[in-house]
Amino acid sequence: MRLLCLFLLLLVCFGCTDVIELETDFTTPELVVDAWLTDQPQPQTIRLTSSQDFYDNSLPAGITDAEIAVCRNGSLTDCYVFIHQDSGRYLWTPEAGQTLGAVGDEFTLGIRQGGTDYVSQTTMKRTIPIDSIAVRLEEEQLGLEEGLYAQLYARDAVGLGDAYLIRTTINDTFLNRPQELNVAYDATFDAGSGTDGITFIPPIRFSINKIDDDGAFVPLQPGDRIEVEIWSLSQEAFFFLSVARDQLSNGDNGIFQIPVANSPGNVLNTTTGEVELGIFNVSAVSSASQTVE
Amino acid sequence: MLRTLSTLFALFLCLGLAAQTNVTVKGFVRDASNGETLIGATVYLDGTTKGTTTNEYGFYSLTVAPGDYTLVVSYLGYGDQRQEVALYGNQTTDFSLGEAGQVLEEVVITATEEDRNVSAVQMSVEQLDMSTIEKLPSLLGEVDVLRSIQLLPGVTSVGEGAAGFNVRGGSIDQNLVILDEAPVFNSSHLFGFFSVFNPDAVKGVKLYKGGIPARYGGRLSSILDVRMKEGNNQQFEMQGGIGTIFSRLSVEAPLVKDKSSFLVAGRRSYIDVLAAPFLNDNLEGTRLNFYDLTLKTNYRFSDKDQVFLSGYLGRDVFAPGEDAGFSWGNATGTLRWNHLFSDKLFANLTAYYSDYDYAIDFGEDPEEDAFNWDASIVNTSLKPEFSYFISPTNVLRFGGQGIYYRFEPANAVAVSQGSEIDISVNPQWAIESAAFVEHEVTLFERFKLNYGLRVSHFAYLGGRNAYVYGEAPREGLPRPLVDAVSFGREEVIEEWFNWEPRAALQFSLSDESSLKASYQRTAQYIHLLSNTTASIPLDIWTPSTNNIDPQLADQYALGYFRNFKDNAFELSLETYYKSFDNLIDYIDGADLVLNEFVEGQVLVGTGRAYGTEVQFKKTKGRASGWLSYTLARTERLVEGINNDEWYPTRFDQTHNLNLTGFYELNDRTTLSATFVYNTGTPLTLANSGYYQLGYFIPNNAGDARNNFRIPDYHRLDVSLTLDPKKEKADRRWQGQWVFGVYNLYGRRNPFTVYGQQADGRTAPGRAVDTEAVKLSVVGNFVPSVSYNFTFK
Repeated sequence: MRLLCLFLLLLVCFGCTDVIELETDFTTPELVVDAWLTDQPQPQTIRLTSSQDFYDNSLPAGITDAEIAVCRNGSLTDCYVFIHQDSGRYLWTPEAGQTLGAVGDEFTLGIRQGGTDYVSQTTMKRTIPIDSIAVRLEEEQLGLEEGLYAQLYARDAVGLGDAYLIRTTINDTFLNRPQELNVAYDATFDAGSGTDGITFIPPIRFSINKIDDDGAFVPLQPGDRIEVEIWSLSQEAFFFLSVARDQLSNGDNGIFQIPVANSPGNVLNTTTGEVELGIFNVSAVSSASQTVE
Repeated sequence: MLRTLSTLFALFLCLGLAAQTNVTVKGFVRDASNGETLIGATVYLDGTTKGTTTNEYGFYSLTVAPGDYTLVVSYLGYGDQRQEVALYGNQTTDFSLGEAGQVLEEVVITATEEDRNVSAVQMSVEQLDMSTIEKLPSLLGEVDVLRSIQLLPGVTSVGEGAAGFNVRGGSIDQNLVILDEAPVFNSSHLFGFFSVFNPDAVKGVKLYKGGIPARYGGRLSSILDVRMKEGNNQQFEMQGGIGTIFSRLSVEAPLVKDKSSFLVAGRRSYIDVLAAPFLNDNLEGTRLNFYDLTLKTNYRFSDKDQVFLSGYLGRDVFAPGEDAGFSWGNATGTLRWNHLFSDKLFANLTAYYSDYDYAIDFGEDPEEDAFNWDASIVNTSLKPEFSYFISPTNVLRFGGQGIYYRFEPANAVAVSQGSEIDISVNPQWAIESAAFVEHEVTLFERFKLNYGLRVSHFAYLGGRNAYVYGEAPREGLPRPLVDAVSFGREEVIEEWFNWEPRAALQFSLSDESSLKASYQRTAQYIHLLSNTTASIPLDIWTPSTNNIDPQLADQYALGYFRNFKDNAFELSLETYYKSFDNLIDYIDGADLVLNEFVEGQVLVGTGRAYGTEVQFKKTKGRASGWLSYTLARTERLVEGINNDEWYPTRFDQTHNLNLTGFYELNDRTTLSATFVYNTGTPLTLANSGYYQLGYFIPNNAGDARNNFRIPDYHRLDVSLTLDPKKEKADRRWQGQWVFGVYNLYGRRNPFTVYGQQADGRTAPGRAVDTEAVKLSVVGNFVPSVSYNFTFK
C-alpha cells in the first residue's frame, strides 16, 4: 500500500485542499498511558495524560496523582518505582550501569490512580545490530531531488515475528513527522508478507532521511550527522504503531483514504476490564551514527 | 420451487400448442446507412396491437394467424417503414431503416420504441444510446459512458474521480459490467477519472437496476450491458477526435458488403507525449499513459447463421523511471454465434475470456534490490441462450452459463541485497454455473408478466490449502489461523447452490400509463476486497471460500409509468426495498493486499437499502432532457462495527438530483447542460487524539462509523456542440467541435474531509499542530475543447 504513495501523490495534485474549521463530538477525556521504555542505562519515562479534542492544539493535562511501578519476571520485589516529576511525567533513574532488564525478560506495569488499578504486561524482544548507515549520491527521479541520501543497512533476525521501530536524528532534529514514522516487521512494512531474515527493504532503508513539508526527501549536506536507533517492539506495540502510521499519513492518500481506525492499546483497567489508550513496551535498542563527508 | 417450475412449463406448453396453426415472419432490423443492427426496434402489424421488439442482435420473430398484413417497423430517430406482406407461410423479412431527417431527431433520449416506458414489462432499466452520451457535457470533453449513467436515478458514486458506481445502495463490486458479454473487472482509466470504453466503438448501454431478468446473474445490484458496434458493412468509415486527454481513431468497413464488416478503435492519452520535451535526461524514462484498443468483426454466413468476434485491450502505465513501474488493465475476447433453428427459435452461443491484471515493479537488478508483484483474475465462460418466440405475446428464454475462474492475488518476490524471498499469495480456482428459464407472456390483454428462475452453483476448488480460523481473541483483532487443510486439484473445498427467482409484472392502466412491480433474488460468488474510499487498481477479487459465504440480495420494486402528448413526455416513479446478506467488511487496520490470511480480517454483515426514484423526460422537440430525483438510504449492520448498530454506507446520499437538458439552437448547434446536486456522503472522523512517543495519535472515541456528513455537492456543466454545416453534409470529411466547461461556477466540491497534522515539524516538548482539511478533486471550473471527425 505504501509503495503506491508516490503514484497517488502525483494524482492528488489534480485536486486541491482547503483548511476548514471543524467541530467534533468529543466530550470525555480518557486516561492515556505513554510507556515506551528501553534497555538503556538511562532514566526511563512514563507519561500519564488524557485524550483531547483532535483540534485542541495544546499539550495534554498530565495526571499527577498516580503510583507507578514496573516489575520484572513476575517478581513482586524486582520492581522499579517511577516517581512523578511534573505534569504527568514519571521517572525511574537507574544507578550507574543499571538497566530495566534484558531481552526475553517479562515486565508488568502497574498503575494505581483515583482508586483504580491498571495493569499491562510485555516482553522485551530482540533487536538487531545496524550494519551500516551508507550515504550515497542519488540521481534525480520523479519525486526525488538529486543529492546525498542515507540508507540504513540492517538484517532482520531469522524467525518470523520480529518488529522494529527505527528512530532517526539528523543533527539535532529528531525525525518526528507522521511520514517519518518508520516501523518494520520482518524487514518489510507489515506482518503476513512472509519475508524473513533479509536486509530491510529499500523503502524502510531510505526512511531515515528527512522529509519536507511537501513530503519529499531532503538531501543531506556534508557535515550532517545521522544517528539511528532500532527499538524492538512487541506484537501489540507493532500493531499499534502500524495502524497509527497508516492513520497519521492517511491524508496523503487523497481519494484513496482508508477508513479511520483506532490503534489498540494494551493497558487493562482492572475494574472495567476495558483496554485504555496507549502502550506499554520495553525495547532492546541498538544504535549507530554516521557523519556525512 | 419445483412446483413453480412445473407450472411454468405447463403454461408454456399450453400456449405453445395453441399457436401451432399460425405462421411466422422473422428477420433483422438494421440501420440503412451502416448496416448496424438496431436493438429494441418495434415491429408490429398495422391496425392491431400485435407487435414485438428486436432483441440484442436486432432479430425479431412474429407469429400470427395467416392473412394479409401491413408490417410497420419503427425506431426513434428513424423514419417508420411499412411493408405489405401476404402471410400464408413462414417467411423472412429484413428491414433497413433510414434516419428521419437530421434536424431535430439527432438528440434522442432513448433509442427504443416510443412507449417502452409504459408498455414494457421491464422496470428499473435505463438505456442510453451514444448520440445522447456524446451530447452530455463531460470532464475535459472526454465522452464517458460510465459518468453518463451516473446522471440516471438510483445511480450514485462515492465521489468525483472514484472508480465504479453504486446502484440502489449496492457497492461497486455488485455491478456486473459486461462488454459484449465479457465482464470488465476494472472499468476505469487513471484510477477512476475516465471509463475504459471508447465511445467510438460503443453502440449503447443498458443498465438493469432491478427486476433483472433470469438470464443475467452473478452480481447483486445491477447489470451494465455495454454493446459494441458491429462495424459499418455498407462503406468505409473513419472516425476520430482530438481531446484534452485522449486522441481517438476508429476505422470500420465492410469486408464483404452486407455480409461482413469490422471495426478497429483505439485511444491513447498523451500527457507523457506533451510532457516529454520538458523532462530532463534523468526523467526521460518516465512513462505515464493509458490506452485502449477495441476490435470487432462479424460474418453473416446465411440468414440463419452469423458470427461475431470482439476484443478489448486496455492498459494504464505509470512508471516514474526505468526501473520502477505500475500498470494495470483489462483484456477481453468474445466469440458469439447466432443461429436460427427455426423461424421461432433463436439461439446465441457466447464464449468469452476476460482477464484483469496488474503489475508493480521496483528495481530490476536481482543481485541487489527488487520488488516484482503481479496479480490477476482470469475467467473463461461458455453461455448458450435460446429465445423461443411462441407468439407475439409469448416468449420463452432458457439457457445456462459456466464460468471457470483463476484468481492470482499475488505472484510476488522481494529481493533485498541479493536475498530473494517469495511473498506470493496462493492462487484460487472456482467454477460458477447457472441455468435459467424465463417466460414473458401477455395475459388478458392488460397484464404482461416476465417470470423466471435462475439456479446457480459455485464450487471453490482445491489445489491449495483451505484455512481454518478460530475466534478473534478480542473484538477488532484478526481471527487466528488454527488449521490448514490441503485439498487436491480434483477436490471441492466448499460449494453453494442458490435458487434465484425473478419476476416482473406490468399492468396497463391505459395506453399511456401502467403500473409495474418486480422481485428479484440475486447471488454473488466473487467479492472485491477493498476498504479505501475510492477503489484502487490493486484491489483484488476473491471467490467465496470456506470462510467467505456468497452474498445474497432480495429486491422488491413498484412503479408507476405515464407518457404524455404522444410519448413526448415520460414520467416514471419507482420505489424499492432491498436487503443484503453476507456483505463483507473488515477489521480496523486490515491489511488486504499481499496477505495470505486476509480471510481472518473479514467481517460479515447485512445491509438494507430503500428509496424512491422519479424521472421526468422530454424526448421530442428542440428542447429535450430529463430530470431525475432519488430519495434513498443505504445502511449496513456488521458485528464489530459502530457498536453493532446500523450505520449508513460511505456512499449513502439522501437526496440526489440530476437535471440534463439539450437545446437545438439551430440545425448545427446544440447547447447541453447538466446540473447535479446531492447530499454529502457520510464518513468517520477522528474526534480526538492523544500523545504516544511524541506523536499525536488520532482516535475515534465512541467508535461510531460514518456519523459525519461532508457538505452537499452541486455542480453545473455546459457544452456547445457545433456540427458541420448542412450544405456540406455530402462532403466526405465531417468535422465537429465541442466546447465545454465542467463545474461552470467553480465550486470546490468536497470529496472528503479529514483531520491531519499540519505542515511543519513539531519541536520537542511542544504541542502537535492539527488541522481539518477538505479535499476537492476538481478545484475550479475546467474548460475543454475537442474536435471530432468522420470520414466516409
